[in-house]
Amino acid sequence: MRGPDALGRGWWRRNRWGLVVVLPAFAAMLYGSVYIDLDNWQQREPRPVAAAADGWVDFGGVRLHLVEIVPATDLKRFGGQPFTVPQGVTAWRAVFEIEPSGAEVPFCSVRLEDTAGRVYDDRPDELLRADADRATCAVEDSPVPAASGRHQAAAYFVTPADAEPVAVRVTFGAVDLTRYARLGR
Amino acid sequence: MSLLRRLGAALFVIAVLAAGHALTTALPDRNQQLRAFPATGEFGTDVTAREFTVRVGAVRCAAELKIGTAILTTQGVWIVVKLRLTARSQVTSIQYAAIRDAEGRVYEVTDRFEQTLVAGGRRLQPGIAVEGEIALEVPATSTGTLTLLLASTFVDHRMDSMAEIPLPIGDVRAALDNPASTEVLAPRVAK
Repeated sequence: MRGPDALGRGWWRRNRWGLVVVLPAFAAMLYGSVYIDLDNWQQREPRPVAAAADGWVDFGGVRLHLVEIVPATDLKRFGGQPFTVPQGVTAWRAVFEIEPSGAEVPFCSVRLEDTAGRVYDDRPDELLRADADRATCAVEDSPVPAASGRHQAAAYFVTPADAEPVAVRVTFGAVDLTRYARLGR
Repeated sequence: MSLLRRLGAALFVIAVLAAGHALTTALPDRNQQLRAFPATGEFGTDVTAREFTVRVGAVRCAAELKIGTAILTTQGVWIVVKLRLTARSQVTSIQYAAIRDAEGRVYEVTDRFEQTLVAGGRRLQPGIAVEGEIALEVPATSTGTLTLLLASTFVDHRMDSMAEIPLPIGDVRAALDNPASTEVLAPRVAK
């Protein structure tokens, strides 16, 4: 550290702007180093799109509305015989209505959420021998004929017997991976 | 600035660079820094990793496996481990299973027959326990504690947890005295 310069300024006065810039530069450097990880983490934590006052969720170019989440007690095997779920497990059927704005509905993925915040996948391995197809949201896979521009999708899940479902989550992967429609009960 | 002062400044810079180099050499490398977090537990108890809980219920050694009608022999010894796996809050699957011996050598689960329980094929739904057995091959010369390793990641285990459970196995060579083949329990929902 040298003494005063020709103008009589000491080290602190000569370097004051550099010192002022150090903190924001350090913060920017830190943000830059974690930005990619932060972005990846946010993409792995998609945000819910909640229903409007009328119970419909407008998401991904379609409108969605939960019809029911009920225990699936009438599951059949592919041959038509009754299907029994393993002991301690409950099977659920979630049905929701779809009102597309365009000609085609994007392929969807459906998950079930319970009161404990646990999230279950559609068409689990426990139901592989049951005649319970994966939900696609396509009009041709609707369990009821389309009417008034609306059709339905049905998804099947298993939970522990003590779990209480509260919502289904519908994701259109080809449209938006950062959000999902949350269809609450 | 005098020559001596310039020389001093140059030496100072060299010393700082040398210290920096020594520091970066002495510190663990990036893979070591980001290595998996071990979730260690005892045989017969629940061991909780980030995405799943595992309990090892039984372990045995065998000279041969009977998979369907096929008999699988080995140059070493088969270690058959009974697992009870439960996903925690999200659907997950076990994609990595291995045994580490006392010398740090790692033997991954065999792919000589389908093992969906630990090869990513079996999706675990939260709260629903699935049990089944897996089989791994270790050399007959293996001694010391064998530790089971399980992870929900396939290859890159960095910054994730890995369950580590020591297996209560004495002498693996004892299994070679009994040539009877053993079956491997397929995955099923636990009662």
